[in-house]
Amino acid sequence: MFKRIFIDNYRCFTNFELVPGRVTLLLGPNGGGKSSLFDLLTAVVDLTRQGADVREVFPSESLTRWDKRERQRVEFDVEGNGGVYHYELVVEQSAEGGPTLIESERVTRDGKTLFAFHDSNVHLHRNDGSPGASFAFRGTRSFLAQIEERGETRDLMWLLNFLEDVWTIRLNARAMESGSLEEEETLARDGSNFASWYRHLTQEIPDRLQALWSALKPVVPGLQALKLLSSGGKGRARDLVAAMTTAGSAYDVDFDELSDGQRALIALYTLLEGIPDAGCLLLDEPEAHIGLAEVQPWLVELDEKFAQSGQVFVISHHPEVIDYLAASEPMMVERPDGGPARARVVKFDRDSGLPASQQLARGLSDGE
Amino acid sequence: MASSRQGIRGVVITEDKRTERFFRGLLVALGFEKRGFRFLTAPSGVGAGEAWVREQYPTEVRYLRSRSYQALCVVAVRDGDNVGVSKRKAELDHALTNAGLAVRQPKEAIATPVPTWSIENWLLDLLGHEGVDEGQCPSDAPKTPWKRVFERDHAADERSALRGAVGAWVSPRSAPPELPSLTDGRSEMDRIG
Repeated sequence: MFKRIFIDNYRCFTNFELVPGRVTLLLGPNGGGKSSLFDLLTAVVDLTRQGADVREVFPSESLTRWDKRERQRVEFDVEGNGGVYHYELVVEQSAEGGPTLIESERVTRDGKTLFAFHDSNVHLHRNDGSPGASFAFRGTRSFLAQIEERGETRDLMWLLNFLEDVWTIRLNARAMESGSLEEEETLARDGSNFASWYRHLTQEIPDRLQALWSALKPVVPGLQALKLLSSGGKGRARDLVAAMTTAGSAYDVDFDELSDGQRALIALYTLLEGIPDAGCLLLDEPEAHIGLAEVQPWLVELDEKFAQSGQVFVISHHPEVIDYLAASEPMMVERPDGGPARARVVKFDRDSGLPASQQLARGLSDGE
Repeated sequence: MASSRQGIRGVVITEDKRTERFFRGLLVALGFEKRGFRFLTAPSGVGAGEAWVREQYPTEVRYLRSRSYQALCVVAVRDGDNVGVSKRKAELDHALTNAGLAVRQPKEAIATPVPTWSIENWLLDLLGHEGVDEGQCPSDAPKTPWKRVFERDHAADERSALRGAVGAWVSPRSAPPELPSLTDGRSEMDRIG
């Protein structure tokens, strides 16, 4: 899990540091930097796992506007695999329309270098930190995206696999359609490929989906299961269909005929089953679309999922979410006087007897 | 018993997440439906968690009494600390009278368990840890709170520890005798259904 995140010269972040917990509630005013934090982590995942061009994920517009420096820096510490990993990335944004390049990138584990890139050269290291191959590489992309699982890269691959299981989710129920052309291993950030991801899960975790249906029955009354039916034409196209019953009558409804809230609830509960156990979820306003009475029951399931393994960050302005997660590790991300974003632990006043959301609304919460 | 408990709805007020998670598991093990309960847990921060629970208590009792035709219950859990079970319960009664409400009546579905010193003493006792008492620290390690003992021994797999403690609640061991506050807590939970 992430133990520390440091960002410098990216959007509103200047020497920004966050020390998160296992379940971290991110609070703060609009424009405070919460979603930018998710965007930054997503950019690193895209760079290191998807092979994205650094110009796509760190465009020149991502430089802090009031800062004249051209270097952007990201660091994070991740605990796992029996040690602590440290990742550093420096992106050089050239002035006057020149190329944007990775200046340096480095991964260590308990102080031993596992990977380094600098001066346009990749330096691979073995698990014990001893030097391996070195070769020239242009810094438009991260070579980490090309690292393959081998005995010598076992420890490095652990971190890369961890990053692959960092999922950013901001559901847009309206974008969640019924059609699926093929299986997809991860849920898109807006949930739009839910049908294809669910199709993948039917192959990977069929037993857990049975448990999912039990959990969903009281949440979406009448829902019996989801079915993948042939779209009618040739090929592997499928349609996701909800099998429903009402007063003893069974009928099918296309997934995208369900209400926004029903689709969101199904996706949220499925997410808890589908994300790898050690995965990291970045949830931006997960309560969007869903009814008030359903918010806390889902948060309870979230708490049970992440109480001991994995990690979750939740951005929310919703009182139900704030009041439930304020007992975990609430962090305030804000920009005092419109300046650089800062993160601080929120310390609510328990003697006040007020719910956390009320304390926030009244500006009473303190921090360190 | 389990089926009759599934229709009961209620609220559980606790000082911290660990207590919430234990009582959540306990309610399910006792046959209640998790979805029927709302969990109000003191936010992290400064001040006493037990005071926060005490502040919420009258509001929930008033609501319960206003819906006397429904199967509702209230569970308010506060650590005993150095105050103890009977004084903690008296404080809750006092909170009701201060709010203009009658004190808790014998037949009301209101449970006020008082883990003493704190929930960790209960958990260790339920898990069969030897020598657990209701003090803050073991007598042979006066600078090591039971809370730290629990974290040392069980933090790596707290989920299993909570599950084991819940299992020991519903299938109590025969001997040796358990903590008095735990015995009292069992009778408290019998009040809600």
